[in-house]
Amino acid sequence: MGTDIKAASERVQAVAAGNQRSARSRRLSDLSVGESARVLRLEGPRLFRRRLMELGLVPGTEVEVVNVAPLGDPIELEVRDCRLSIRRDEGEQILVSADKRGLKVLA
Amino acid sequence: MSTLVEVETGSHVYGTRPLVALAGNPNTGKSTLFNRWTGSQSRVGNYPGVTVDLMRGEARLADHDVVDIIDIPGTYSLLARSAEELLAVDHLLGLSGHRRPDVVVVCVDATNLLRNLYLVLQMQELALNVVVALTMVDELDDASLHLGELSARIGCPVVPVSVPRGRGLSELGEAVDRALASAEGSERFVWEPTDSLAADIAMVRKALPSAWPATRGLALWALMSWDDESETVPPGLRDTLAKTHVPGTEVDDEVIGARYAFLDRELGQLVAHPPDRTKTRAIDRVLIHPIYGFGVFVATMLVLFQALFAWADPAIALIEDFFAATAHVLAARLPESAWSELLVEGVIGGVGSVVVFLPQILMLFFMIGLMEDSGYMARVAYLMDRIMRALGLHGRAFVPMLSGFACAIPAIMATRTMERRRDRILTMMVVPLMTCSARLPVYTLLIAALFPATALLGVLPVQGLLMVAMYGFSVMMALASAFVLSKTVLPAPPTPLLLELPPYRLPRLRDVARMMWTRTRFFLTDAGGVILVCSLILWVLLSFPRTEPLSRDYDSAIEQAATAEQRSELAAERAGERLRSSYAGRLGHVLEPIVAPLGFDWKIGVGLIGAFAAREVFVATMGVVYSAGDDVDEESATLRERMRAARRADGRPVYTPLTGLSLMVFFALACQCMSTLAVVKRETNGFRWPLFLFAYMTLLAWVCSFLVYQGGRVLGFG
Repeated sequence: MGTDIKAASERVQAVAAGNQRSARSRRLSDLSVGESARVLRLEGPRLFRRRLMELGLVPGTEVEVVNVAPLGDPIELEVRDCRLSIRRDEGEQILVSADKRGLKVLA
Repeated sequence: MSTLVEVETGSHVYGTRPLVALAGNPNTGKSTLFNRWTGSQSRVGNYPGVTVDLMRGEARLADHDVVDIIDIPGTYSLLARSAEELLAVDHLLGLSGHRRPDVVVVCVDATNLLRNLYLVLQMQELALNVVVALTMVDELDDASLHLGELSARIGCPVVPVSVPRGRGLSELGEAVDRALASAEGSERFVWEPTDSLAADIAMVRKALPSAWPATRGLALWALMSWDDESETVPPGLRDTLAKTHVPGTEVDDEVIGARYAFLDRELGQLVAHPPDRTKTRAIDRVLIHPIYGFGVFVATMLVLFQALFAWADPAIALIEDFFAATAHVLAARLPESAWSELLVEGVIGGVGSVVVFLPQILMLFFMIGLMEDSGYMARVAYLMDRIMRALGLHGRAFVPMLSGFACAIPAIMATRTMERRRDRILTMMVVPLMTCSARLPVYTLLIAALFPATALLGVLPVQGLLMVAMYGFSVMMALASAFVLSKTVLPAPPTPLLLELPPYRLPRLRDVARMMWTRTRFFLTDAGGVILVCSLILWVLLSFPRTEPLSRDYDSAIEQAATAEQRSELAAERAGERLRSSYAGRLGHVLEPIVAPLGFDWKIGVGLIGAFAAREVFVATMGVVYSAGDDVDEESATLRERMRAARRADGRPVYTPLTGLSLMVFFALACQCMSTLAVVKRETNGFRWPLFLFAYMTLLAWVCSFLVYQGGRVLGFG
């Protein structure tokens, strides 16, 4: 059991490192509707990033942009089957993997 | 410092019965459950953050004893940053002298499961005795939830409920009863902190205030809740927190990451099918479409506007007629004395001035109730956020601002639809600048009396243009004020603003009606009292003293007058003389040096005092001041002529187009409305914001009128 977890976490780290190397990271706000990506890192002041993380945007999470308001802002996200809308400049603080297709997904 | 209003029902003393707290994310059906249990008056809405007040009630759960219930404002997390969040946490944890609840029922939205369960995990770390009420289950596939497994893995009872249909409520009551009988919840960490974080937690744990339970969970909570910038840190704890080793952001990463890792690993598999959102998506394809979306939005707002302006009007007229008729009947029956006048003019008039707001309040909250409970209000915010945010306002400020064109009173009450206190207050501070319908009679009188009924370039009527210009001016000033206030007095907090788009649901008339009644009741009992007292004070100012002998014996003159016309003229003259010698008349003289630079004389000063009851009263007050009778309206030819004929000491006319413009600008900007101030006091629960509102608007009005009048004179007008 213990070794399973250890092995699994090593695999996760290896894949994550590989993804980070190969992928140009970009901003969540750059994704268009229907695109999804994996959260890499959050920037901004502590309170701000903490609130986003508490809503589920922790590094490693897959996030999809499901809607953009007609005036371009805010954007609606789907995270873990949950919906939330954030403003575009908030999305700029969230770095995501460049391309989901380029991501090695764990089996 | 409690910034929320506590609402108590009944006369029962809290503390003798079991206490059940109701908590959960915003928009989880928490308020509906509270209403269902208590049968009382909390607000229900398909809308994040509707529970602004801390509501209390009592309920009989299952077949057992009566328990007290407290409805905690919706929150995504237990980390306390704002005053509202801190109050919620105080009540949940039993800090700051509040009683610790025996059981916490957490409403968990099954369609947003993991995010909601995050809050449950936090509560378990803090050893709360939790029962989960799983709401919105009817929007999920029956087969898609493994309830037993969910309960086992999250470590507390989980009861699916459908509050609107009344399903699962008795099971929930039984689960709460069982939890009440069981021991306190125990601390339950679902993850192990790293050594350095564990050391920090241990250090903070020793420094916790002695009144607090010295638990690991509470130590971690304190460690994450406060940093150097916080103001509310208990004494003694601040120094300890400064000595911790792990940087704040690393604590956040570790703790929040660990909680979500647990949720993903243990619970992520339990939801087989994500909720079916196809209907909501289909509706959204129209309602938040770049073209159709705005079309529907404009149409909805037109209906809202029409409802406030036109549909409420017959009811308003009926109320006004009723109170006028009552006063008339009473005046004829009662002996002539100051007390009779107090009853007829002061009390009946005062009550009338409160009740007259009800049609618009009910109408607005009916519309808002439908929009909120259907989920459309959230779409309005989504559509308008971009525009409103540029001015520092919340997307949801749009409906209150629009309602401000009808009347500031319901509009200010409508700011409750915003979750953050700062957004609410900022909106309240600018709504009174919108051109409300009470300003129209004032503008009509001044424009008709002082500006020619000619057309510019042969087609554009000067008077109509001026009216439009006043509307434009008020909107411009409201938006500019919002911008400036949001940069200075009310800066936006650094936390991201969440706009949830809940699934569309059919609004239930019962819930909407209950909300309308709740709002109306608060207005009548709280703001209504203040308005009544203020209108009595104003009445005294305008009617007393009565002792001085008048310049001639009007009573016998009226008796000897030959025609009815002469009699009413004499009565108007008597009323005019009385007002001129009243306290308000004297105050007008006191005000004169202050308003003289704006082009106003003391009679206008008296009018401004009278207008404080409601802006349109300016017209009637001017009618009395100029002895044209108190029943004049803005179309009165007599009043217009008397105003045109009024002269200053040096023989120049008082009313020139320039004075008129200056006066209109003053009315556009000054907070000449006691009811607005009374409602702001009630909604902000203090005198600070109504005083600020009055001060800033009056100053703004004075400066702008000064610029108009003095600038106009420099340019050679008037």
